[in-house]
Amino acid sequence: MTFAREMTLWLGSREVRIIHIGRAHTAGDTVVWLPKERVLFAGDTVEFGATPYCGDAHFRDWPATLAAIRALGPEALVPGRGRALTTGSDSRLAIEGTEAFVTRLFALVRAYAERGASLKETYDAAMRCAAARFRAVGHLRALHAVQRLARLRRGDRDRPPARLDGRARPRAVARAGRRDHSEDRRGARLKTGRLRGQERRKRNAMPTTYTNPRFPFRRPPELDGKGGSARVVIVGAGLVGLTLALDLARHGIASVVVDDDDTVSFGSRAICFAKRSLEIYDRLGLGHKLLEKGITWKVGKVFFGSSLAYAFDLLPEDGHRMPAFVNLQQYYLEEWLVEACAETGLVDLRWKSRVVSVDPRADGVRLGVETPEGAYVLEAEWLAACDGARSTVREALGLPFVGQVFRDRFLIADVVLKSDVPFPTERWFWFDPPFHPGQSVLLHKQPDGVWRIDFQLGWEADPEEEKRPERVVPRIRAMLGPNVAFELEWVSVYTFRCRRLERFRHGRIFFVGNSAHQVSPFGARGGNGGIQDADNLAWKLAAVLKGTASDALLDSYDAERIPAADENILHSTRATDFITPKTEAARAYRDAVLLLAREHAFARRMVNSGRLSLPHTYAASPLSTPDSEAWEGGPAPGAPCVDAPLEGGFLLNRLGNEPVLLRFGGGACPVLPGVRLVTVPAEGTAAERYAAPSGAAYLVRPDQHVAARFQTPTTDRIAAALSRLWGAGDAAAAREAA
Amino acid sequence: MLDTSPNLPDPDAVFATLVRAHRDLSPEESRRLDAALVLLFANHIGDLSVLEEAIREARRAVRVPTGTREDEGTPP
Repeated sequence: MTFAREMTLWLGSREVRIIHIGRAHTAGDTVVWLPKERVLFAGDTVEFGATPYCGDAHFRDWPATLAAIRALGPEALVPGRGRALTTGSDSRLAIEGTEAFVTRLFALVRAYAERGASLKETYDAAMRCAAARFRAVGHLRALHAVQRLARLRRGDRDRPPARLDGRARPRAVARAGRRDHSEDRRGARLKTGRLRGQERRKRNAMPTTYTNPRFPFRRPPELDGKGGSARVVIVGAGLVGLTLALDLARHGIASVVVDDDDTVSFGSRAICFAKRSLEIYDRLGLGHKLLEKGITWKVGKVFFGSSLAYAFDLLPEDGHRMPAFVNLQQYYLEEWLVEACAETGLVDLRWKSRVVSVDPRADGVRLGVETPEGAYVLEAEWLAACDGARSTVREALGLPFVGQVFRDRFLIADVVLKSDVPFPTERWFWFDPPFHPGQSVLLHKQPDGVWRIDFQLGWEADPEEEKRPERVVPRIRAMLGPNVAFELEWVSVYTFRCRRLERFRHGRIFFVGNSAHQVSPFGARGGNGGIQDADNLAWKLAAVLKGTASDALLDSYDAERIPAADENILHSTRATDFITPKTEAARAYRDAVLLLAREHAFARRMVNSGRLSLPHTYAASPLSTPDSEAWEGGPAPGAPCVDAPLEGGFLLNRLGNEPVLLRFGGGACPVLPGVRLVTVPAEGTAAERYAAPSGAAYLVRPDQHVAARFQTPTTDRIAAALSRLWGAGDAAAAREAA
Repeated sequence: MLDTSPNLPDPDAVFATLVRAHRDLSPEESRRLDAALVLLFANHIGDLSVLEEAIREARRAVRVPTGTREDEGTPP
């Protein structure tokens, strides 16, 4: 029997349509459609849980064919490969999964071909893309290499983390839906008892001072045919994703957070939280916890050889609620964030939920999510990719990174000191110390009696070998001396990159934190940078969702956070170049600086063991109104507000998360809707720090950065600055003013 | 603005002084000494653009013949 395009068979009263619906997997793809039952036998036009065979495929036609299939609206679908799908949502997921695979693969190959890339490069990129997006899809028969990667990846999940690291782990394979706090950071959980003379090694031991909580998987409504959409979806419940979710909730915006794991971060990661981050968490209601649990420090010392090169005090000024830095293990903060998010009732935290497909559209993003109890489609109006350095979302969109890899390796060793501690609560950095000649060492104190030590190893070091306690323990003993008893609780070896995406906003998708940019660890700019990204995005997204501001406001996320990322990358690159000189000449200059620093203040200012994270000033921001009066100090437009003591508290605590007019001194003052007035005395520390004459006013953004300031505030001037703050630009401001 | 006009009353003494500074030093120590001197001068000058100009002149002067040491990058 042959047919041209379509034919109908009647099996009794059952209508069976056989349709050549378009070219896809081959030139003659045919599907069988039961319109009454809404059942589709899709043949190889649609696959589920498997990659399509593409050897005879028509890539250009395939998406249109799938659109035609989707238009049929099947409630059940039998794909060419994979299990029969018995719901409409599973059917759509299969269609979308196939479409995503076909279009992304084709787009990627075409882009590489246009660039003149070699077949091998193209193949490797395709593998990376396929592995990242479609890792969860089970049998990858047609693409053997992908199949191999997937097998390795599946193995990873059950394998002890001590062996998860190293060469067995395919670099190209991203962890879908999971934040990834570092890159190439090869963690090994292990613990050695404090033993005299001999070291014991236990694989898979948890750090002794902390036990990771396990959060339960809760069946989402989508699996029972309900729900299916969210205003904001956040991929990755790590430090940045949770901060964003909590900040949105504080603005009254609900979000869904998906994460493929079921716990907070594991082992030694971000530890130094800078003043600006502490102020952000104070605004979010967690500041007191950081202060209570964290180790506060502000003095840093730099040693060259065995002698002190110089010391610095980061915050010599009193009258700030928050110190320069607090050291805290990242998992504590994440745990508090999870609790705080739950308390708001606005954050739908979905553990063990893995993003398997990302389909950007004009009015939102369609996600495929896989869970232990089944897969579902989630439509997001807005998507925030907080899924770390190996971001699945970024891989799915095929966005390249631009930047630099540093050819050096560092060892992190966390130790619990069991006897009298030979160090004060300070940051100590050694260049070329006697106990680790030719390299650098960094020492930080954390809560629970844990000390973090970073040893520079050099590029030639073997990460596997260096992680072994037989190697690590003598290094630490050489540093601490023979009489200090310690217990090793975490060891990992890492390399790093300094790089970023070209843009952080892609339509309805935002990249936040490590998914957007990565820096070296020197200067504590990774975690702190990500927290400030979230701080910048939350109020803008909330305003657009509430209708207070237009979509244009969201472009300022790029305008503000890209220069911030560049600043972080610049500083961390310079610090890295200082710490690990690349040439003989560079080393001679570095050493000369350190030697001069003992005597000369000018040289001390060149010593760079990490320019510690300071808040970025959004100097050229479209949201800022430039000064039109002469100011002698104070935070300029774009800068974060400076804290100051007030009667019964601190200035920053008076600001909150909505626009504020911060007024110095009394007297009549223009009042505008949507702006809260906060009056502080015209005399005193606050007025001094803001260089504010009596009657002056600062217009403060919801993220507590300065939008504008006026020595003589008027309704028109404030209104114009306010309109600009909400993203209406200069033209509107001018119109308002006129 | 970098002053390259003759500016030293006793150029021979300056040259001898610089050479003498390196007496008894190993190549590595010499290199460090030069670096320390440059850093001290740079601070004394206090102007990045003058330093950049000097680097440009110095690189132009000592540039090795083409084809032997081209791997050091281009002058700023």
